[in-house]
Amino acid sequence: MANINRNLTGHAACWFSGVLTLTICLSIIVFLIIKGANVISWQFLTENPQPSLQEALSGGILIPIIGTILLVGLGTLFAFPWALATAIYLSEYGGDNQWVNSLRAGIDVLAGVPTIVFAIFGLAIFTHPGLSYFSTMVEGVANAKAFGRSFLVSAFTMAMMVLPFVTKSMEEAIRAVPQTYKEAAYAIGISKWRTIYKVVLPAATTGIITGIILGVGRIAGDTAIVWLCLGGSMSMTGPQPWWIPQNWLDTMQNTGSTLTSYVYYSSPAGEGNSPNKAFGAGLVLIIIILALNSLVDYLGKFTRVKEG
Amino acid sequence: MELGKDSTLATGLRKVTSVKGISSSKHWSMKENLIEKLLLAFTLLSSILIFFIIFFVISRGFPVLQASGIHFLTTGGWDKQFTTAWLAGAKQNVATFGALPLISGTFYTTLGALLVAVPFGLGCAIFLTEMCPAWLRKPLESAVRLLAAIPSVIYGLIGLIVIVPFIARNFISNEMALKMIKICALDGTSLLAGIIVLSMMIGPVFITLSSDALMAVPRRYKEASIALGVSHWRTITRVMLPVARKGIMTGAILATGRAIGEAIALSMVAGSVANLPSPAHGLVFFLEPVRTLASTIVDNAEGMGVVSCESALFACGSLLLLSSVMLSVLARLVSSRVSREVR
Amino acid sequence: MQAAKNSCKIKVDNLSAWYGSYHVLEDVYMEIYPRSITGLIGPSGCGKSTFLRCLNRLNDLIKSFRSEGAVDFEGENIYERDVDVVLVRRKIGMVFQQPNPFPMSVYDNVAFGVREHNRQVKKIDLDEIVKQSLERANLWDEVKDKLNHSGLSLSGGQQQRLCIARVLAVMPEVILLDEPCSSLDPVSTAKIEELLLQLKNSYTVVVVTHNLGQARRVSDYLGFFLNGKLVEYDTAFGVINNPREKSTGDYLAGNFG
Repeated sequence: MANINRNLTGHAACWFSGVLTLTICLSIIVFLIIKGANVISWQFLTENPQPSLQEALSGGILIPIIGTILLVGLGTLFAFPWALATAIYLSEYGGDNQWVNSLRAGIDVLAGVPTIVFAIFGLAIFTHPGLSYFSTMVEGVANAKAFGRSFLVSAFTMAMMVLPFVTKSMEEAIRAVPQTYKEAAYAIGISKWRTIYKVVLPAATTGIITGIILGVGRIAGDTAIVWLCLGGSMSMTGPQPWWIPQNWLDTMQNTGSTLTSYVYYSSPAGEGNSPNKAFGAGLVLIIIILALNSLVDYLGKFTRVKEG
Repeated sequence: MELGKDSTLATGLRKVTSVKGISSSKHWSMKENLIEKLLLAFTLLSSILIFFIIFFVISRGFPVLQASGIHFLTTGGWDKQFTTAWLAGAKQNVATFGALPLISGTFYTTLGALLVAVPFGLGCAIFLTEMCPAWLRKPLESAVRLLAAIPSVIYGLIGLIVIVPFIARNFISNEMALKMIKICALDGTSLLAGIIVLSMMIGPVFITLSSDALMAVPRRYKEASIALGVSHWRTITRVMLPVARKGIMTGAILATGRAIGEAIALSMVAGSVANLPSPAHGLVFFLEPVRTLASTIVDNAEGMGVVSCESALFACGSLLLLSSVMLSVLARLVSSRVSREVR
Repeated sequence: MQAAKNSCKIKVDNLSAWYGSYHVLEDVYMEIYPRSITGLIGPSGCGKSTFLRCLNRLNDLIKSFRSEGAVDFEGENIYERDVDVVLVRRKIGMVFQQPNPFPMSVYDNVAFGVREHNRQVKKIDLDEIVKQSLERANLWDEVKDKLNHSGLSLSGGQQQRLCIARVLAVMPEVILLDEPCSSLDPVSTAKIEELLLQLKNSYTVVVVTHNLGQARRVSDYLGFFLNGKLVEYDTAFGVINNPREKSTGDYLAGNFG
């Protein structure tokens, strides 16, 4: 008799947890859509943010959107070759010795470090005068040293943050390529690098792209590094207009905003002037991230179909 | 055209007549070596990065840790100390700090979030793998993945707009606020809000890893148990969960790491005061604002221009780094140890 | 079945091999003659596949592998230090037990090795080489309209012939085959055996097989391996009809497998 009770409570508890999770998720989505969709309009997406205490006059999120795209692009640009080279070396040349195994362990450890630690690390490193190319001296407190914040600084920091994650993903993809393809290539006299370049990497392409997309998602969604290394300014602080090619480098050496910093800034935790617009920006951000995740799923199915 | 071995085309492909080192192949293997060295360089860069980050963070935090000694871990007063140091600017390069409220903030929020997320998360994982009707499985899996994909700043925003005012309206009365006025302001940003938001953030990770672990349990164990007449629930608790132990523990460790390192969402909802909530206050304990090591760095980021403040922040960073390294090591130990037992 | 005994293509001289501490081959001596098919038979685990993989140094890929002795290809020991192993594998090609075409089109599969060995090859020459290789592998008629289809879309037997064409395209002198028909149906097997008999006119062929009937059908020379040792090696006729060793006779009679 007691057993049946225990069974029932056990099952009920699990059902409850499952339904609760689903409810929470649905509520969050519905809430975001309701709050955010009101605000989103073509104007909202294409106007720049304006400094204003009144929400209605505070403009749109064009610069944050561009900031996110810029940061993601630069960060991926820095991280991709680095991660790919490391992944190739570890899986194809590394072998099984102490150093390679401890490097893998080190990469795992780095993957667990909170992004805020990367953020202060990046911020402090780029304060060094030798690295002053990457940012213009923006602010200094009296009697203190100035520190550099910019898109370039943030992009490097993002690249370091996302490196372990992307490297692991790519390494898995490369290892998943059947050994027999490599043997076939060796057996007709193809050298090691050519085998990797022409047989292994093409076969691992979808997995590698998945790794990049996951990295992109993490960069797009991170706030800690952006808030510290990019600052909370709403507009691009380089020479204006920031979008002409002559000013591109300068723009990257200066600060700006991304969707994540915009949300933080506009919420009651920041200036708090436009909480509704924060939801709008948040909704746009989530849509972008969901689109990326669906792309990953689609690529996953695509690989499975190809291998029949 | 018979492509015999003597045709000119054939000779073109067979440049070599002997297999010993030929000049063309030497140049070729030089290129191979070069590429291998290049890949090695990038890989070395990765390993240097790891050491450098650890070294840098700890060495920058060291001045404050050294000056404060054990008091860093055992005393409080952070906010006042920070402001004083910041105003002093470059005149004073080292100051002592007490981070106890921050450490306890991290501890309480993480513990609270785990106490909520682990049971519910495990229940959800069991539901997903063992009891979920087919039509509900896809939606629920997608829901979990969605929750995992939401950026932390949005959880913070929702917490700030929904949860914090809710707590302020329903749990905090005027008398309560007046009583606590000398210690801190009760405005809804609180330990409770932090726990709620944090558990929503770490839940999905834990659910995913636990359900993976449960699905990896070989069917034959479950079938053997059921065939012996053991009820479904007992099969789950007595047979499947023990076998899935490794994955579930790894999930919990990862969730803990995530909770400890969360900065943005907690800085939005848990409060911006370095307050040390005391259980002696009764239930108000949960309603007091707290700040964690991670959210302190966010809140006090403007101090990075002043050496003493920067050192204090790096000291917090060092603690975070150390704890994440320890958790990573723990996760590896769990993976290797438990698998030996299960075999 | 008298081949010119003075010009042997490959001479294996006291070859011994280990996987870690496991002694897999012991003092093997064998002369392999050009323009013939040498069959290697023996029960599972006797070392015949390992031996085959020694001939093109494919065992180098296995970390715990160690060998002693020499494998002379046209007079030069391929295990010496300054030998370019990549060149060795161009001249001594291999076909595997499980067909393993690349995940590329039929054309690209055959062209792959050619392109790698000669970057400047012109398309028109490449087309010709691909066609001739597929013809020599008895596959041309079946795929000539499907050159752009994926290699993986062919049947098992066709994939294996594609792998043979891929090897033929780089114009080796020796072709090693490791149980090439063991995953194929009888019809495909017959086609491959027929192909081998054609190929021996231009190449030196070494085939590992666990199918005694196949060994009988195609081999000019036969080597019987047992527990890592080459127990008997002679013309196929000699080994089958007058085995010198008792174990050879037992194996051929099917007394053990």
